[in-house]
Amino acid sequence: MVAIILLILLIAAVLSQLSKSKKKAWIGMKTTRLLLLGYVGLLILLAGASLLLPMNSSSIKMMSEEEVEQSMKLQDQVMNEAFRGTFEEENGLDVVEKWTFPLTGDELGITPINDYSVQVFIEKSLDIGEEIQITHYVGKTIVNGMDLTEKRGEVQIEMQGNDLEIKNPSHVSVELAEISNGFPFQQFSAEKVEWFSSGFYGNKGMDVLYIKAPKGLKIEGQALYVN
Amino acid sequence: MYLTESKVRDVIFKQYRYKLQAYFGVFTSLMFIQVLGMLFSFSGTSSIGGGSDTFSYDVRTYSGSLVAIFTLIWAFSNGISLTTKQHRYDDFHFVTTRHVSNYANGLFLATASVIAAITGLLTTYVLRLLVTQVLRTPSIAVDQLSVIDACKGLVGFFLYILLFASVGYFIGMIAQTNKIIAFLLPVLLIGVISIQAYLGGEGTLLVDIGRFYVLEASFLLFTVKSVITSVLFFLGACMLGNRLEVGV
Repeated sequence: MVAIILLILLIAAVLSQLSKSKKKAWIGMKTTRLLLLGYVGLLILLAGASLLLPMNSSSIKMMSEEEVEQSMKLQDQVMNEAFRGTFEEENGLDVVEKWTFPLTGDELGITPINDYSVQVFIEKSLDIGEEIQITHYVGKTIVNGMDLTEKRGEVQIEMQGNDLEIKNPSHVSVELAEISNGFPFQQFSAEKVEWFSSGFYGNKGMDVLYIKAPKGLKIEGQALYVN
Repeated sequence: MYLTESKVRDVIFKQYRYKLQAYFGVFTSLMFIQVLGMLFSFSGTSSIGGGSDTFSYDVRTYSGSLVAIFTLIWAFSNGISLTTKQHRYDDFHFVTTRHVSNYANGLFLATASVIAAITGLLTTYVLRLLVTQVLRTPSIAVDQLSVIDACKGLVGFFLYILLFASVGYFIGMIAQTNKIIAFLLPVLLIGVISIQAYLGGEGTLLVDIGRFYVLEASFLLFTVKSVITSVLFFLGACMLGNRLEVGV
C-alpha cells in the first residue's frame, strides 16, 4: 500500500514537472514532436512485429469458470460413486495410460512407494484371465482457467513378481507467462473481465488407478473394491 | 461593429491549434508514463505459484492494465494542469471568452485522449513482444482480440481517458475556485473510505464507483455512461470556470 502511494506521488510529481507550460518546457517543441513521432513509429513497428512473430505459445487450453466447475463436479461425482462401490469405466475423466500385466500366482500385493496419494479401486471380474488390467484416470489440474493436466508427470507402475509397485511421477515444474491486453481491451471482448472478479479459480486433479483382476485373486494392500 | 469580426468557431479552433502547439509537452509526459508502465509490467503484474511433491507451477501475468492505469493518471493530471492560472492566462493572448477557452480545452483533451488511447493499445502489443521474444517463457494469451474487439477496446479506452481528463478538469477548476474545497476533497474521500473500513466493511467506495464502469460488458451502455459522466464533469467545470474572476 505504501509502495503504491509512493509510486502515485512520484508519478504526480513527475507529471506536474513535465506538464508545465511552454515557457518552462525542458525540451524544445521540435524535439518533442520528433520524440512523439519516433515513439509512435517505434510502437507501430514493434506492435507489427509482435503480431507477425510466433508467440512461443504453449498448447494449454483455457477453461471458463463454468467448465472448471463442471470438471470439479465430475471428479467429485466419480469419486463419490466409487466410494459407494460403483465405478464406470467410461466416466468422463481423462485416461492417461493403460497397462496389462500377466499374473504368476494367485496373490497380488499393492505397494505404494514414496507415499504418493493415488486412489486405487479394484474390480474383480470373471471375464479376466491370468492377468490384471490397470487404467490410470486423472481429474483435471487447472490453475486460473489454464488446463495443466497434460503437463503433470505420470504415475509409474511396475510389476515385481506378484507385487504391484506404484511410484511417484517425477517432479514437473511448469513456468508460464499469461499475457493479457488489460482491462479496457478485455471489457468488451468475449473474455472475462479480470477486475473485481473472484480471482483465482482452479482444481487439483486426482490420480485414480482402476484395476480389473480375476475373481479368485487374493489382494493385499490399500485399495477399495467396486462393482 | 468591428473591422475584423471573428466567428466563435474560428476562435475556438485557433485557440485549440495554439494549445496543441503550446502544450505539446504533455505528450512527453505521456511517453514517459507509458514507458514507465511497460517497465513495471515487464516484471509481471501478478503471479500465482504452488505445487506438491510431484508438480509445481509458477504462472506470471503480464497485463496491459498497468500502462492503462498510468495513462489514466496522466489524463487526470493533464485535466488538472489545464485549469492552472498560468494556462488560463495563456488563453487571453486571443480575443476570447471563458466559454471559448473551455471548448478549446475540451477539444485539446479529446485529441490528447485519442493519441493516448492509440499509443496505449500499441504498448500492449509491445509488452507481448517483450515477454514472448525477450523472456521467451512459454506463453498463453488469455484474450485473443478480434479486430472488432480491438476497435471497441480502443474506443472504450479513449472514453476512459476522456472521463479521467474531465474529472481532472473539474477538480482542477474546483481547486481554482476555492482552495479550501480543493483541500477538503481528498480529505473527504479518504475519510469516507476510512469510515467504511471502520464500520466493518472494506473501504470500497472507489471500487464501487469503478464497478459501475469496469463491469459494464455492453459497449453501448458503457459509452452512454462514460460520455454522460464526462459531459457532466466538463459542464460542471465550465460553470465553475465562468464564476472565476479575472484575477483568480
